[in-house]
Amino acid sequence: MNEFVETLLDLPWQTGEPKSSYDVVIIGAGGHGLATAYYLATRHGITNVCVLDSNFIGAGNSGRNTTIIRSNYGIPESVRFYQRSLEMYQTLEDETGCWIMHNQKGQIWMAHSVSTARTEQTRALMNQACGAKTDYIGPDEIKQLCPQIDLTGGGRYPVYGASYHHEGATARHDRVVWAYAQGALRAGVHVFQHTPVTGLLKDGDRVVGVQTPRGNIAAGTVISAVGGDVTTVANWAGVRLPIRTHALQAFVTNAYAQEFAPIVSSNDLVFYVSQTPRGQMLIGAEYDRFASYRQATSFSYLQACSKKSITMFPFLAKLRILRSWTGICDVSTDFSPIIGHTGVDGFMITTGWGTWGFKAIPAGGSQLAELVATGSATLIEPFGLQRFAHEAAMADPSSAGTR
Amino acid sequence: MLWVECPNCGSRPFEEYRYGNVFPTTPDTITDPDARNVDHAWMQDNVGGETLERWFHEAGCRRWFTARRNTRTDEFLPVDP
Amino acid sequence: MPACEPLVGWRIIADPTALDQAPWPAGSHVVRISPDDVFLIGAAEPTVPADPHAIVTPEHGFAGASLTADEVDHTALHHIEWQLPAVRPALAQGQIAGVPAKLVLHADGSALLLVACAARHELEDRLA
Repeated sequence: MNEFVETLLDLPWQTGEPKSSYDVVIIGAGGHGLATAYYLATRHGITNVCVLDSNFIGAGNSGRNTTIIRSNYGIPESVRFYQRSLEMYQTLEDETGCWIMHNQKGQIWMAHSVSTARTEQTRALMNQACGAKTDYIGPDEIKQLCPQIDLTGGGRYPVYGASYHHEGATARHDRVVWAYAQGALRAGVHVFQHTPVTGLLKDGDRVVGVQTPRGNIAAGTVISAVGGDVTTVANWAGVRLPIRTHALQAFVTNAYAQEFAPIVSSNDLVFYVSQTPRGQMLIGAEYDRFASYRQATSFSYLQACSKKSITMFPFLAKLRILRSWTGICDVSTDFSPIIGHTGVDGFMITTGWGTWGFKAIPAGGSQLAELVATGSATLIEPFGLQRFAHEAAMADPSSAGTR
Repeated sequence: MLWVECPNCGSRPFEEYRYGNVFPTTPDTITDPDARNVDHAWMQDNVGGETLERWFHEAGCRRWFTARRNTRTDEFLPVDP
Repeated sequence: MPACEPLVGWRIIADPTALDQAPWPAGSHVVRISPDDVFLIGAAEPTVPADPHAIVTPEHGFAGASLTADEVDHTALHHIEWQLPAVRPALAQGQIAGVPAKLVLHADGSALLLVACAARHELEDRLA
């Protein structure tokens, strides 16, 4: 048993059954669900909160993702929101007392054509205007930051330039989830693992609780923080969502003995590479084109993604793929999150996190908690479900990195 | 490996195909024309189970066809069960 | 593997029944790409099917190479992930060595390999 596991033993776990009623019931004990519970309890004094999960804590995408934290988005509302999240990550270790292995590395977002170079220049200016630290840099500076790169891109993808996001970072995903789980439990939140929600309790049009195999639980507010299967939960409430579930794959290689300092992405090739604390090279690319709930990896993905990354980083050809994994992602049709009220009383939602949810955990959780507690939260106001009816979609596919 | 049955060419690896999404449906319960437009433009059924959808055999006959697929298993089923 | 040479033919897109009944010129190859789509090779003049909406146009987009029965077997074994049809003659379409291509399989086991002109050098390289 290691030191990390020992810290979990002293937690005030609920050994009995859930209470018959809570102020807030959150479906899904992933990053967003637990962070919302944590901030409700620690910032707003709402401790009569219960988090339910059909599996264990962090069993979904929060517990396996590519751990990238950045705020270099393409529309002002997103930059402000993700910048708040990035700043909260920087102080999360101090706040929770948990080591989340936060590591500021910087992110290089390469352009291989004049048009994408313009996109990256726009991104840098947009970011600066909205408070994120991003500069446009040339090939020489890229080579300095990342000596392993082939600036000719195998002759086919020459590097014109890149936007460099100074505060791009990584953190250990399951430690983040457990930091919030520990904080929430210590503040009095109840967390029940292996307790699936099987339906919603309704009073007329209003959602008043959840059904579980361990009995019905009444709630002042029910929040869905469900990932890939969110449509099932929304259907119970009668809410139509602009969400399609896609599988996203990623893989790591065996350890690369030298330092690979930054996170590197490519706008044209659509892939990203970073180095894990164990030295493995972590590589990902776009999500599978067809909608699917099946968490299957495919050889053709590994082949295509390896080819793209070796084009820019020839040294990767000497490494071997160690393991790969797949998560199912709730991708919204405008590539921005959907967070807040649903139009159904008593039922709120945090979804549409697609392939970009991990970086948003602190801001998503704290803003949703603020909305529940005070009735308003500025940063997530543009990201309500109602935006689609008001012709105010937050379309930003080029910033997803996985489109 | 995922195999997709093309009605013209036979069974081929899925990389030969392009996915064309499911047939859009807007529930009859939405009656307001504006709301129906919003639903048609943005909302998804996102069925976890059997769907009827379009696929394009890009590397073969280059024709669109309709397929029935279980999105939980990615199993392709006869179009008219 | 022989080189792929550009082919000149006719592209005929029409109602499937009209294509089924069309009197094709003797000695020509009829490549039925899909029920409503024919690539006609080796005909001086195209056959116009009995469909008022038929599209008949010269087709210069394909390159082709003749493969012996041994070359077909070798290609199928090393470069094709899917099953070739058991009956001959037949048309087989799909990725060959990762490039979209077609095999017009003859009764004697030999075949005509068809590939888009733009991709012919890529395919030659991969099959070499």
